[in-house]
Amino acid sequence: MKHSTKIILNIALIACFGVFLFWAQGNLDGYKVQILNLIAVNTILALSLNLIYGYTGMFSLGHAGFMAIGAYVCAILILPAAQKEMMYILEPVIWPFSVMHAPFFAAVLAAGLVAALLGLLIALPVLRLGGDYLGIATLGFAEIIRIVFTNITPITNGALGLKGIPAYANLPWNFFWCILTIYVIVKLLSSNFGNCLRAIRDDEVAAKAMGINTFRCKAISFAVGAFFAGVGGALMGSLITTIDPKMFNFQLTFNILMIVVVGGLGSITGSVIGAVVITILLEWLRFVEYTVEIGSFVIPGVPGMRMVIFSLVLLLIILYRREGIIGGYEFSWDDLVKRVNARRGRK
Amino acid sequence: MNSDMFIQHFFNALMLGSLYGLIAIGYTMVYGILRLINFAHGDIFMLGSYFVFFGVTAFHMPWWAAALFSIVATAATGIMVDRVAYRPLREAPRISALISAIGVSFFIENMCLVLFTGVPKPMPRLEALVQVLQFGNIRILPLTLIVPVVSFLLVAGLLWMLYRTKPGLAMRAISKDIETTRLMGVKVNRIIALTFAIGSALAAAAGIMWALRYPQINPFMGVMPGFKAFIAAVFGGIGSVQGAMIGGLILGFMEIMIVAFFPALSGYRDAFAFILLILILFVKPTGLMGEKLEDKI
Amino acid sequence: MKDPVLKTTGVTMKFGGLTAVEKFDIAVEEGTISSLIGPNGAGKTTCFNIITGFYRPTLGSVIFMGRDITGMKPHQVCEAGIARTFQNIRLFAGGTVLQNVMTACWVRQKSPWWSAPLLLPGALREEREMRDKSMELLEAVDLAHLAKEIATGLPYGAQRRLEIARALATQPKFLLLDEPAAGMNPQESSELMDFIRKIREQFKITILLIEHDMKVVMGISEWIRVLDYGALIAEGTPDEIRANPKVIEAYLGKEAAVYVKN
Repeated sequence: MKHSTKIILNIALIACFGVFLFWAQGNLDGYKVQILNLIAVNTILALSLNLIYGYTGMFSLGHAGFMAIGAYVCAILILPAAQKEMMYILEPVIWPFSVMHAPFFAAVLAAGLVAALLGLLIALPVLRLGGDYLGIATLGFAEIIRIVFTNITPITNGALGLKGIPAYANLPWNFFWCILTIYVIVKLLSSNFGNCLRAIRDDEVAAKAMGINTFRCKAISFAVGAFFAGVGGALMGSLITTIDPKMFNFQLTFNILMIVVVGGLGSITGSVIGAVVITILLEWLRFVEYTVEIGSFVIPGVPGMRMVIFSLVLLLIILYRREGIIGGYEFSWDDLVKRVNARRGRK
Repeated sequence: MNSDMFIQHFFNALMLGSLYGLIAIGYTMVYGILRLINFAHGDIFMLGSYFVFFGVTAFHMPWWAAALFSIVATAATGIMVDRVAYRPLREAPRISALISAIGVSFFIENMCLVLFTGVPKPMPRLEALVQVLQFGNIRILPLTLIVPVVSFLLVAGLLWMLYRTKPGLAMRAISKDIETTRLMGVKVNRIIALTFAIGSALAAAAGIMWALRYPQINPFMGVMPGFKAFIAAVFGGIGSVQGAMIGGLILGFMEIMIVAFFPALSGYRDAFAFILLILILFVKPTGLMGEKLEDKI
Repeated sequence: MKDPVLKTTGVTMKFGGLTAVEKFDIAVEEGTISSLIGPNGAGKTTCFNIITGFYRPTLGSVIFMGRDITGMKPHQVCEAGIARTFQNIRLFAGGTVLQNVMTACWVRQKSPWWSAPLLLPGALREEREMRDKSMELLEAVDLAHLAKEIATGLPYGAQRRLEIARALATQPKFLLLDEPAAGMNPQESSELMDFIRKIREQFKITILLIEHDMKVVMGISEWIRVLDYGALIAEGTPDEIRANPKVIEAYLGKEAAVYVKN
């Protein structure tokens, strides 16, 4: 298929999707719109983790930390000064955080950049570590960030968190960032830089011998992943309008890891589908945790049941279907055409 | 700070440190053999507390029987976790087993949340152990003195087992080279199960003593001690039992003493361990007593 | 005599108390094919690892084209113009044949990593050029028809050739081959010899190889160096080496050497 045809098809696909979003905004109820929003944000987060772990082979458990940074940076930038003044009741907010203000786009961008910068800082000491040690070290960093955010009250409002964050993160914004993330990550991975990342994942020694500065490439991949994790965190904060340090615990990283593993490591299509499936399941399974009344019947909710089911799903996938639910399939127009033709041929 | 206070802090640190050490041994033994961070180990420790709690309250067992029940039940759980979630992944990439371990950890925590609710359970007091002893101005719980003694006895027993018995020899052999050991006719899976049983039993012992000292049991109580014990194991040099105990003690002292001397930092209490972890990994990834593992080119 | 392309002086490598390589002095002339032989565990691969920057020698220096490369990182050594293959083939398992070769072009790539999402025309052109060049290389090693296959699915001999093609894609001046004929039958190894000669001519490179297959070593080398217990015990032309009692002793033991002499 010609390159230009593919570009037209991509644009057409995005346009169709835009029409769908426009329709959804007007016709779906708030709850469903919220799920769509969460799908967009979770896709961003899953792709960023997949870049780091699935493509570069760095097992990172620090995603919640980058999200926390993104969420706080963005929230502090979009909260009006007067509101901040009122909210910080434990200790007054200090300058310059008291007066900082930026439009939403710039705030999200800044959130990503700060997270990326921190990602680089973290990368320097820990990227020398392999495999599981890297996972634990990044988990440690995420915990440190959380504890620090609980304690630097004049900046973060401590354990109380930030409330009433302007809800700018609507469908268009979330999906704009989501599509941007997909675009950037797909482009990076299909370029020769992507080959380098996969080479490092497959055999770091051979990659070094082939002249790849593995440390630099890993740091870049880590920082890009951290950038989009920060973006995801920023959107998440604005979407649910309330953040506090407790929210960014290991559970959050677990959810994203689950999307990536369920969708398939090293598969963009998998991460997108994983984000859709897991987000819907996460919401749909909420009912098991809440008390439901049907007529005179009362089914008591069971707190924790949702995560029991999810940890079982993760276990089953990792034990029996390690390549993910779609088996490592990667969508492309060429492949689609081939499949359609094959089906026609059979008829 | 006066010397009386210091002595109290000293014994508290000794107690906390030896509990970390006991849990750390489970991490270090499993990592030494399978190169797997048994993420669920902190939750195994938590189960130890619940088992003894139910032994005493629901089954009305005497204390010694409840403790024994807890140790046996926890060890059995440890073996089961290995059988179900880790053994099928022995040939898989190492990180797969780690993800599986994370899954098990969340499963155990949330299963307990479902079964026992998130409301902390009050552990009954064992009066003989928690009646304050007074020496001059120093006030100490008998438990604070008993915990380190019990811990050291357990570690001594484990070391004896490792260096003087056949299964111990097999364990040390597996940690050097699992394939060769298998070829030598050792039933590797059985020894690995034994390793999980011992690690879990020690975690149960720690869980019982922890519950006596901090008598509020909840499904997430194992998370932080678990992380810290893992860090202790890394600090001591992963794979080394003595190292794990020493790492646990150092971590316990650090935590108690920093908060005691710099009360302003108490909000950062849980961060110390993680900062320590990153420092060790940066400076000396093999820990205090660990052996160097190198990639072969 | 011309300046040697690679020169090591007094290279010594100690691991703890063990001396793996001692006073390793070689001078490799430009454009030659030479071999490093010796019994198992003699330290041959260690020498390769020192030259390519995977180990930093305890003592001594490595000079490549007049430049001191001692202690450089592996990727810097590669950038300086030394490429290698591995004893146990190390291809990028998840990638296709073409991707394996393209990856090795990265070291000469000028466009930065962030140019792809920005669709910079220069970067797109360079990417196309690299793809074409990689295909040419695959053509040269007779693997072009398999370009889209997963690398580790190839037959053994093809994987060896691919590893060499990948090394060539870094545009080296000097190529180190670690047991290229391992696991090959006589037919394959004789093809390999032709192949090695061919790439020397085509790419104007100097080749140093470790090899156990004496037919290959004697058939292809212009100069042979023998390593035993980490020390160079002999060097010379194939005929000289064949007649050297020290070499026979190293390989077969003292008695055999006496036996051969008589």
